[in-house]
Amino acid sequence: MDPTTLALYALCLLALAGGAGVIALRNPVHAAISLLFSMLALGGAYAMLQAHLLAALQILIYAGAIVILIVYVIMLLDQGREAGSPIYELGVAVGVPLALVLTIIAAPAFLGAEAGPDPLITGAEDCTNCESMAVKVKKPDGSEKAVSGCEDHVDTDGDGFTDCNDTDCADNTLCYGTVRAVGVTLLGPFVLPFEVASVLLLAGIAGSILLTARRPKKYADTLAAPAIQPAPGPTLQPGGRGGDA
Amino acid sequence: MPLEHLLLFSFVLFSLGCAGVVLRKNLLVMLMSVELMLNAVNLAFVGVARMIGGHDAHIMVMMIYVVAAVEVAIGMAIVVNMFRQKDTIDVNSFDAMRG
Repeated sequence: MDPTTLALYALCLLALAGGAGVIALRNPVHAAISLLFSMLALGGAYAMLQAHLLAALQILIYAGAIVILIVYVIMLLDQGREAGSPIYELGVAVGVPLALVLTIIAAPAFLGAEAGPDPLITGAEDCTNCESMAVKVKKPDGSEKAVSGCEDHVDTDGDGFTDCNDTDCADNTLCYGTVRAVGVTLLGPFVLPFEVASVLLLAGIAGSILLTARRPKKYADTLAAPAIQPAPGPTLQPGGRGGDA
Repeated sequence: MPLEHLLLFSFVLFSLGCAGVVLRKNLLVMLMSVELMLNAVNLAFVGVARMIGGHDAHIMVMMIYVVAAVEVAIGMAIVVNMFRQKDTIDVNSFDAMRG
């Protein structure tokens, strides 16, 4: 078993252990740290699967931003340990047999894998990857140009495109999963989802601000939320939040 | 590693997240379990993309990152609001809509 496969198994097992910790540990802070381990292990697994950009994003976004945000909220709320059992006894009584039955049903599909060349390590032909991700771009003079992740390769067969037919494109690992290759796909055929994602992020920003901002008293009354106390002081003036007065 | 084994890992990780949402009473831990489920799907996406080639699945994973980030931001805001109302985030305390 080659080192990459070994590392992949180890990282996946580490991710599972972290996931088990999330649902088993009583203290929410410990659960968050366990989640952090799971996210880091998954980032390593992505790197073993040649998804280099996603490995970096996994660590930056999940481990660096999302888990830290969760830890901040845990610290902010400071609700202490859960009273009594942290889990539903009825859920265990129903869920564990159900999970066992589902596992018995699903296991043959997963365990029927025959030994042979390792598809996840050898992967798809990298030159095929170069070709499949090439995007035709119209230049100002009307001619078309194929943009792929292999611009730094040499157009050995002289057809105007650096693509899979070029003998120079053999070092495919440079192409697959790199920032350039994924970026060409993201800003080529998937530019519309890319733009729509920015609208979603804007909605997320606006929503989280509106949900957590302390409201002036006349809004607090309408919410029938007795625990929401408007902070005293001259900073809160009725109708002061522009636009919705 | 055969693809089936990677999908098995993904399946088990998703099941762990699912169990966390169903079993735990702490709202924050439930949200963390949702993150686990999203990551299980990401792992399956990356593995299949590695086998068949192409980067479409990588784009899908990045979209899931965006959704997960927004979901955590909104979810945490809701959790903070719920804590302000009842001084706890035990889901058993929130039964106002019980019929």
